[in-house]
Amino acid sequence: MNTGKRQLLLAEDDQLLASLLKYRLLKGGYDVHLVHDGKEVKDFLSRTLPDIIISDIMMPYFSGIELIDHVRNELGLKIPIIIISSAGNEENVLSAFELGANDFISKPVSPSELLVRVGRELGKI
Amino acid sequence: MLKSENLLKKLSDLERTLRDFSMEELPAIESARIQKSLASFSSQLEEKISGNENDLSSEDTIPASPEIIYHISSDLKRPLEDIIGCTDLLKESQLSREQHHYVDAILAASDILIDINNQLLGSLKSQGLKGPGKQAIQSIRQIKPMTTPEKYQTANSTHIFGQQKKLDLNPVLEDCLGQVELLEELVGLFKINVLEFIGEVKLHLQNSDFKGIAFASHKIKNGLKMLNASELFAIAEQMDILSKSDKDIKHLRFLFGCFIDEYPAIEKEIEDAIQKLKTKQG
Repeated sequence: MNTGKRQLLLAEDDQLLASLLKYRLLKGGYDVHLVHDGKEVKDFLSRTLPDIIISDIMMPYFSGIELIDHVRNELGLKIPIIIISSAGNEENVLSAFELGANDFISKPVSPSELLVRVGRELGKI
Repeated sequence: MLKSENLLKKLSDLERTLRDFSMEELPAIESARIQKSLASFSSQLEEKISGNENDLSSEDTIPASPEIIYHISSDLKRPLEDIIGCTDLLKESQLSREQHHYVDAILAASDILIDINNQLLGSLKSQGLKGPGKQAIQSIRQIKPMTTPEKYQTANSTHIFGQQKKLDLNPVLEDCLGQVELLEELVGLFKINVLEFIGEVKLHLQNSDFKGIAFASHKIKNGLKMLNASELFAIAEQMDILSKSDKDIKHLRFLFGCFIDEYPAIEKEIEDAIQKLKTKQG
């Protein structure tokens, strides 16, 4: 159902963080679709295309890096992708950018900061 | 009743063995520590058992509640860990054949005590406990004590774990836009995550799966940081680092033991902090 709101796909297996981010993103005026692993991400993308994707780098089945590769190279989509990364994961962040991620945010994630980054990426579209 | 008698008998055997052992040439500090732990363990157990026997003899007796069993198990755990930890250390020091025999006897008796402790927990299952409470008890307490505190408590141990800062949930409440109900929901998820971490790491330690330990430690860190559980965060961080570098299983077990020991206090602090916030909001 198209609510007129921007569709946001949030891929995060940490339920604690996912609940908080979903709440804040909903309050921020987005329709949030939450998935918990790479398999669910692939399933979702085979049915619906969101306006923006926010994904953790480390997830079961299918990492954030593989997700970017899938979206950019296999699906050929230019949807903005923001990566959530833990400290000490600089190598993965660089790989993410090389594959076509638009931005990244470090854990612990500030929901306010994430909202600003999402707004900025969607504003470019 | 039969179990209590068995337990006390095993305890008397253990005390006798330990008394004989400590008369040999043994570092005085370690000897005194083992005797003190055993005396504490023994008197607490006797208190609990005599308390439970009084309950049983009363006409209005009701079966020991899961909470009572849980508390008994909690109180037994620490002195038991001390006994096993110190005895493990003794085993690694220079001992005569006879001393080795005594140490083996102490460890064997301790194993039996652990089994009985676990049987106490097993009785909780038969009472059909459901929900997080059951998981908490099974996950946290049904573990063979693996701590070796003497070996790893160095001058730097405070540095390693740091001091637990006063727990402040206000920043998290801010992120929740002041919604205490959401904060409570997040705390509930946090508790589940911790229990899953404990269960996973216990298995990974048994299998010496360092990759598994690293992954679990890495994942739990974010939640610990979010809720400002700084001491637990420091422990998880150490476990993450060690399981990638040294891969010292004994040290990892010790850290895991520290995590389990510290968590109940942190959990209580979090609950108190939530209560304070709820009262404030009023």
